[in-house]
Amino acid sequence: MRIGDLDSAALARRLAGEGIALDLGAARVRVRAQAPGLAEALRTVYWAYPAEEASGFFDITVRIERPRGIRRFVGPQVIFVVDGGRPFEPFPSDTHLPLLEWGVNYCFAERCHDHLVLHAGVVERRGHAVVLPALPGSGKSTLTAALVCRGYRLLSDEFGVLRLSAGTAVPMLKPLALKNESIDVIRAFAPGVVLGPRFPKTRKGTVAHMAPDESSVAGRLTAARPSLIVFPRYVAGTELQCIPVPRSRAFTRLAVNSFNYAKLGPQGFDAVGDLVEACECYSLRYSSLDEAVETVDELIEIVSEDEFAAPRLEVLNP
Amino acid sequence: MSAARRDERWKVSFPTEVRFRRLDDEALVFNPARWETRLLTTVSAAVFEALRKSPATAEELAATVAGLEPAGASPAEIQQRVREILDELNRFDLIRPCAGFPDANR
Repeated sequence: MRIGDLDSAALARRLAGEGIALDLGAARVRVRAQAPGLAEALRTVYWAYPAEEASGFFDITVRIERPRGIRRFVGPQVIFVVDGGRPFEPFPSDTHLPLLEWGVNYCFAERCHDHLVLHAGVVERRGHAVVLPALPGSGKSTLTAALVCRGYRLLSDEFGVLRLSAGTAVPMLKPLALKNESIDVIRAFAPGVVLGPRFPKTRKGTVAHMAPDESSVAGRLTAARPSLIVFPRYVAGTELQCIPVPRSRAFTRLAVNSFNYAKLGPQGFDAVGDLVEACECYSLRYSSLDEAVETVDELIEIVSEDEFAAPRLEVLNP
Repeated sequence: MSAARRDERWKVSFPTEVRFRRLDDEALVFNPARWETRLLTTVSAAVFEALRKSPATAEELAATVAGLEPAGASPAEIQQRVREILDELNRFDLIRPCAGFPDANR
């Protein structure tokens, strides 16, 4: 049974009780919640995930709660709780899903240092993982979403998670967070895409989450070897420009972009070095999503021509 | 003005622990003492790479990297450039003067 097969009331009961388990690939998360509306939002954006019982080992255990006292009724709020602590200020109660998503991201970035974690989207086609590292506001999520809408498997929108020794990209599969104009851009680009509710007036503006498709969810326990690093940058009205980036410069950009490079020290140095040596590196400036997707398709063609016999996909914990 | 003397012999500070990765014409180096990473551009990378092989003076290093400098650069200009690079690598604690010249290989 999938989460989307549960009705909202049944999912809300599970959330209020033992919680639900979300296996995202790189992390297994337990979510408990008492927040009106959250069950329906989760049901939409996690529809393709298995409806697992909340048992076994979890990397991250979180709760979304309503505060006690007057805040339950006047200007109602929700609180993110992890291990008994509250790392954030309360959010308005109608921004439960963004709070949950950011909270889980925060926990992952703070804790999971057995991998190199980049701020990057990651997609895969024909066994080749494409890493899309970028600073916020660069159009990374929009391009990642567009690639997924054109048949790429989504591994991650926010976290490029790389095994330190093997160099493979591990999925950290969560709903893809679209912001502001990107929401309508993707809606127009792929009218059939499943989007969750819009959350206006968050700290990042209006946010809506794109549900991972069924094949990405089915592949969330399958890692892939990166072949391409594409640094995307959306510039309105610009002509598409795709230029090679020297590996040394790609290294520095990835190190700056990483959540935990500085913590990992020599391990991070080796991991980033191995990654850039295994990849062709490009900078992609775009304004048209169609052109950008077409360019990434062409780059995949190029790296596919250099194919060796080594398997490029690997099932996690087989 | 460079502080590196003409006859001073230099060596890598942490030869076994330092991480060095040549990537195309440039290189990255991780300094374990400072837990920091530096990008070395073409000539700096060649200087550091040469010092990883064996200690050397600015004059010897200048001969090694002469082909990487712009055409027309005089030996004196190349040596001056190398001394500036040595100063910079020294400032980042990536290299240090050998304890006693000519006992260079320790």
